Amino acid sequence: MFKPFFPYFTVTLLAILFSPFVHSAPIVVHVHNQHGEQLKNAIIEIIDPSAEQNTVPTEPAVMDQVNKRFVPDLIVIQQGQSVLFPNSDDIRHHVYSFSQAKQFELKLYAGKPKAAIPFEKNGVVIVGCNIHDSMVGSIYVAKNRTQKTSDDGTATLELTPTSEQISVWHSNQQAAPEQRVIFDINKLKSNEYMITIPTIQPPARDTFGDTFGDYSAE
Amino acid sequence: MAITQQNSLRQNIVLLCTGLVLITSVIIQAASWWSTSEFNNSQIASRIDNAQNVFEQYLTEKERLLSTAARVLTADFGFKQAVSSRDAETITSVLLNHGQRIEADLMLLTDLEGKLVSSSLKDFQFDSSQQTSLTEQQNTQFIMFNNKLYQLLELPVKAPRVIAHAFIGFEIDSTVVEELKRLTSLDISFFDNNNRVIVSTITHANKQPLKDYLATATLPWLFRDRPAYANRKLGLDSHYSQPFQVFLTADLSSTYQEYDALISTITIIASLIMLVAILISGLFAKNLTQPLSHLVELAKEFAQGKYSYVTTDTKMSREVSTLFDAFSDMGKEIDLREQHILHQAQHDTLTQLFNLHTFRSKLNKTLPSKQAYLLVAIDIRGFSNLNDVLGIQVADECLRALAKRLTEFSIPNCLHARLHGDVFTSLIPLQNEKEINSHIESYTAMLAEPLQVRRLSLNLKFWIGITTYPNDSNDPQALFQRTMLALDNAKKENTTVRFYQEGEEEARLEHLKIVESLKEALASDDGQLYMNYQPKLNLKTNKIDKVEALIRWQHPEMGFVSPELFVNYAEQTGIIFDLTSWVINSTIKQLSEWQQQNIFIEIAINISAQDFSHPEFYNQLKATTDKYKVSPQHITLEITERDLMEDEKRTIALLQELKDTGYTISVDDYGIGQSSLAKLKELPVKELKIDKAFVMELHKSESDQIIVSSTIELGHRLNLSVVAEGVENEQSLALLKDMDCDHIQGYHLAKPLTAKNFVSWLNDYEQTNA
Repeated sequence: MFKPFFPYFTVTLLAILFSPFVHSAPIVVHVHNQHGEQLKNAIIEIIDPSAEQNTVPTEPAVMDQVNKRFVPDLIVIQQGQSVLFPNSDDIRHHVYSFSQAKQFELKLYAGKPKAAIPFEKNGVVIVGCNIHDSMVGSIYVAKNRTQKTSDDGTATLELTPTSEQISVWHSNQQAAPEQRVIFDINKLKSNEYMITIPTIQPPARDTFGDTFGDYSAE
Repeated sequence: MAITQQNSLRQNIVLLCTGLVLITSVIIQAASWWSTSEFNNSQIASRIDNAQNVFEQYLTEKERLLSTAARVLTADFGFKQAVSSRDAETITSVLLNHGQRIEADLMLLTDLEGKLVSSSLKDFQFDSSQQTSLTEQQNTQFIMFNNKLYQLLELPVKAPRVIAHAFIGFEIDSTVVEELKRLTSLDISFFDNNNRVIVSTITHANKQPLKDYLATATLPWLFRDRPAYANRKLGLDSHYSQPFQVFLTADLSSTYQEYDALISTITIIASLIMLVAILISGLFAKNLTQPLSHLVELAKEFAQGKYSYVTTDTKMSREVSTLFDAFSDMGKEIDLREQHILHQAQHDTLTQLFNLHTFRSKLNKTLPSKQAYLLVAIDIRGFSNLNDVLGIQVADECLRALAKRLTEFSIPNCLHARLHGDVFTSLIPLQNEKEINSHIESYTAMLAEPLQVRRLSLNLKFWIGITTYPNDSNDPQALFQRTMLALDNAKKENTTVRFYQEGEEEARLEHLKIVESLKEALASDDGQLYMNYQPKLNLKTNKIDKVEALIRWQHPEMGFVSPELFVNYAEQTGIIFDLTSWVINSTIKQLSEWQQQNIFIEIAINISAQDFSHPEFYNQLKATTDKYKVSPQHITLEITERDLMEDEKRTIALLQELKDTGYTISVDDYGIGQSSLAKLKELPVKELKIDKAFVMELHKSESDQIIVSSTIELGHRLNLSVVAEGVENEQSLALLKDMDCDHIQGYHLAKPLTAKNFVSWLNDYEQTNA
């Protein structure tokens, strides 16, 4: 069960170096949770209004469904890119999303769906399966450049002078699933700092939804 | 036989038995009351415990069911879709719609921050604390809205991540509490945090708040009120600082009814047992005590002198029967002894004749009668002599023989008795008056026959006093008295047969009357008794130097009483000492007064033999003499010659003592006694007083002259002064002067005079003979 906390975000900025900040220089971001554990796969987007639109890949990204899981359960795509949701399981799935960035519904299907789903808006889209509640997948629809934290929870960002803000998101964050935390780059006084994202444990695999999936299908 | 009096033994037995049963039953009752009460309390407690378990179980179950239903609801795709639509109207409608599916009374939706998004009830609002704390609750909780209590269940809305929180509420209404009541069989009341009742299975018309009512309501009982309800207070999880409260209430009235019924059953049983105990112990006590009351009856019969009581009670126990027999035997023994004692009381032990008492009572029973009787009393002459000579045993045998003789008297129907000592009496019936003499003759003849005692032939002589009934008295006791008087007179007159003579009894009574009056006169000392003084002339000096004090008695009714008479009676009745004391006191007082008037004269006082033998005589005389401060030399004590000769030794000692003290002793009435001159010589006397019998006719009788002359001479020889009394003429005086007599006294000189008259007489005399 979700347990919200206040404040939802605690961002600790620690100035390690007092040398003048240089925008063109790379900065290192360390992301960890409230317990000090390093968070990998946190998505950091560098918001730069003046940057050119990234080229949208024509090939759709793929989020497969294997063994009642989305595989991979996190993909990062560019705004306007499509995602294909093939079903590799023997059973049918009902993939949907009520996220603000994209609402769609692939009613019970098996095998490859007819078409890929286009994601016109940037933002976080949480996808689930209506008949398998434990299936949760996240699609990060990025407008700008993004970067994932590595296994040690760090990411090295190459910033352009026009970069104004960065946003940080993690799939297990305590905050609303679609919410991203924005940091103002101009206010950063150092080129290495730490970001704390409170997380929760993802729900167990074998859940109520799996057990009573038939009912929820109505 | 009914037991009329309260029998304490019986009561005690009944009390003991009843008391024991009472104590036992009270203890048992108290124990059963207590244990029943304890059992009830524990029953109630366990009922409430069970109810609490059921209640909690119910809530948990309900929560689980609700939770299940709610999860299904929140997992509904359409629901999730509607929620994620973010359209308020849609969300509200879906809440209402889906709420109805699971019959929820309240549906709420909050965002992840806990802010209320939508509600199935209009105007629902969280207060500030609820907004933050609701979502912190893990399980169900209770909230109030519009005075209704809701059990609220939180569920996350997942799409598939948690996007909102749904709250599903079920009202705790009367249906719920009624169901709880059915399950727990206890009343259930829910109270809000202001102690107001929300819902309850108990309705009460009282204005008192229900919570207080439950806690304080009582039911009236015997001695104190009992609480009407047992309550268990439970808290309900809520976000309020004061949780809602649930009262599990056991209505105790039915418990009390059962308890009371049990107690009254026990009480009734105990009362019955007590009643039975009283009856049985009463019966038992009656059986035990009835024979005792028979014994009481028996004892009462004994007390009345009836010793032949027979019981009709056949149900006596062996012990009581034995006791009863013992009592009966005792009664017989007492009867025998009583008869023996009665015989002894009625009879003279020596002769077996009736005794005095019995004789008198038999006399009372026999008389009055139409039959005439002779009443004879006899006394053996010289019996004390006989006693001395032959001894008491022979004398007793003699009395027995006489008694035997009396019982063998020929005249039938005589009544004989021994009164005391040697005095016997016989009541002899008379057919007519002519028989009197013949009967007396045969009676005396019988007595005259010699008595054969231990081979001795005794010729006894008797004094016999006789009265005749009814001639001498109608009254049996008076007759008896007169018979005894006749016997006394026979002794005095020394005659063998003495009939009672009319008037003798009255004379004796007169005598008694005089004695009584004399006692009164002495006691009152009111002038009835007074002293006269007769002067004595000293022939040597021709002066009046002595007087003889003589008592006189003027009784207000009887008039002048002869001194010889009453002094004699006083001697006979033993009051002479009192009389003499009075005389001594009066006389010495007079002497003292005269001495104060310068009249110096000696006084002679007559003293009787009884005075002399009185142990206090000397002391009293001396005390009186000292009291009036008079010298004993002025007092002469005149004692008759006869008195002087009695009890010589003691008399001599006393006379000597008197003489040593200074009193003069004079021998009164000298010449008529039989005293020897030799004895007279030994006595410490100083004066002889020649009896007037020799002096009164002195001038005529030559023999008297010889006696008086020789007596005077003899007295002078013995160094005694001589007084002649009864001098009544001049010739006698002259003769006595010639005979050298020392003093004379008599009418010729002066009569006895009162004190006052004596003084004037003395003055006249002294002037005439100066």
